[in-house]
Amino acid sequence: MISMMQRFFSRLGVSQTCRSAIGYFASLPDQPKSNNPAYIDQQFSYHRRNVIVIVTFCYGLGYVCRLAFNVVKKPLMDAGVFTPEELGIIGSTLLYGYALGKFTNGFLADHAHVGRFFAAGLFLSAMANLGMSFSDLAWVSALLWGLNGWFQGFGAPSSVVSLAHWYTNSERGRYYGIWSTAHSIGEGLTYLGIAWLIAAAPKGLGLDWQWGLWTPAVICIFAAYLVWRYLPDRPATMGLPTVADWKSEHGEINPDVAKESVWKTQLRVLTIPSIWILAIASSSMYVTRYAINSWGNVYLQEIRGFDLFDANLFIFFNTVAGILGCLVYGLVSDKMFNARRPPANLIFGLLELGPLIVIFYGPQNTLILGIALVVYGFGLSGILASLGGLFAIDIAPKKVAGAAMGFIGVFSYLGAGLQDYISGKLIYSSQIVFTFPSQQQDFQVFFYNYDKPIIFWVGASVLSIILASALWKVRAAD
Amino acid sequence: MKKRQLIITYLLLGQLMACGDDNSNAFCDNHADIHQQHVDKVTRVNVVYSENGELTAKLSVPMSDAAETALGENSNIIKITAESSCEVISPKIVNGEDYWQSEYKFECGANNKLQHVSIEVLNNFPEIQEVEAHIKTPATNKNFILNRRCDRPIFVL
Repeated sequence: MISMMQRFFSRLGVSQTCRSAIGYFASLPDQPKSNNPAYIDQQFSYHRRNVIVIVTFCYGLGYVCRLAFNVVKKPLMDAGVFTPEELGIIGSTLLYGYALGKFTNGFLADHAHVGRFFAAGLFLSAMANLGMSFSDLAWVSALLWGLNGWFQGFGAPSSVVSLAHWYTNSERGRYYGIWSTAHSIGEGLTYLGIAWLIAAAPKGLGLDWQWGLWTPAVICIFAAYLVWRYLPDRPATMGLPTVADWKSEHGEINPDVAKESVWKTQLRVLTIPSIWILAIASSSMYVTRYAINSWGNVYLQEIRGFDLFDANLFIFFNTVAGILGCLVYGLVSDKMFNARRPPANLIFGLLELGPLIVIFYGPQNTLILGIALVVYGFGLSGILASLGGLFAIDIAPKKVAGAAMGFIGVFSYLGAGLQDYISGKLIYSSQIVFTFPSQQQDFQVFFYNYDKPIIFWVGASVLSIILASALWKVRAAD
Repeated sequence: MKKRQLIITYLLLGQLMACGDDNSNAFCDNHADIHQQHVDKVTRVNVVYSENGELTAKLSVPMSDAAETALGENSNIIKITAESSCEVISPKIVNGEDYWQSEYKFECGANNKLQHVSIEVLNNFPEIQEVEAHIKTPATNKNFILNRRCDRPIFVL
């Protein structure tokens, strides 16, 4: 693979230095297999522990470089650095970059030394955060944040590839579950930690908004070092057998798999109408998800009058409830509905929509708002686990489940990106500026109205639930 | 340098950068706590912008800081910009014990979006050092202090 890539780049006229740099990220050649069982056991034990700790911890830390910008949005608006429309454009570029990364990085990670590849993504993401802290030009920030989206996309495929190389089929679900908690680590660190740095005293340190980007950069550089140092390449590159050989645990090989090329089956996925409906349903739900993630804390500060720390605390509770939502969704759909997703989708969809309406149109009571956000997070994560993954895998032929997930993922993040732009534009269109000029300076205070964006966010959820319910009779394929 | 020393050095450097401008901002950082002690000597602006497009600004300014004639001119106090023009209602001024109480009203209409409001008191009345502002729009309320010594509004009220 390395030589193939190097030949390809050689034909393109890429210099030897560049080709060596590209080669650095490629998976190393296989080494002769060791015949020492004690050595093999010791190596597997050591690296398997490193893999799960590093991918979970460092993927979580990497999240901070993705989300911290949401925390500093309000200070950026207050300081007049960017308008909501500009912030919307900047935020959307990350999601477009991430959508692109979903395709490209998955392919690259299959051929990469995941430790080096993932570390590079984290390091470059840190650089993007650093760059953002020095930029007050919207187009520069949009470019940097778009690149950050792509760099952020190095993490998930690297982690999944690593889990695939170091854990067997029967173990992978358990370890995948542990790894999935990483986003909560990241969201917790961001919505509590970074918010604490920026929030005014006594709840926070009251640092300038730039610290909300410098700190994630430092965290991601630290994570990059850990990943580079401790996340191993494939077992075969160390003279080890495959994990399936080591554990003597081989899955059944489906004889039909060879009959049709994977590429052909992947294309066939695109002809399944249910997949398209599911993609639009997932995309609509991602609109709501990222609307709350990106603008929720700004809304809570602007309209509901919470301070930065409390607003982010609310968003944190909502994301934590999401962990439970994912777990309960799987249990409910498997046990109560015999692995039929549509009834569970409807229940979790309503659990998402009801609280969403309470959040925006319900009584102005802090306790009710808190409860609504928790239930919303629970319902949203459940239905997203289905629309964005589980249901797609059910519908698609199993050997191209990855392609189906990729297709839905790209759609979802395009929806999320478009949401950020539209939300920013709608918020900006409502702007009223109060200026207090004086001889020394002009004080400016901005006022916004979220009525139109809220209709957009709630409407997207309604559309998603209707579309998901339209697949009521769809059964699992294969 | 050992690892631990290196980490401590970076932490201290970070602390220094974070606290570098503490002294210059100390007054502004702490002002919200002591604001109540001089609240009766401060100029106050209450602005209400209603859903039907009516904007009312009420000003309460110590007599020592402004002349009555100057308060009678709308443009000395408030200027507004909307998508189309707004009807200006003549200001009312009431003579309080120690304060001038004045009211300024604009009828913009429900479908005439307000874009910009400029409150000119700090510009036109050099004696005014601080303004306490309460602004209400159909979507939200904001309360804050503006002091000439601070470079940004103080929102903790």
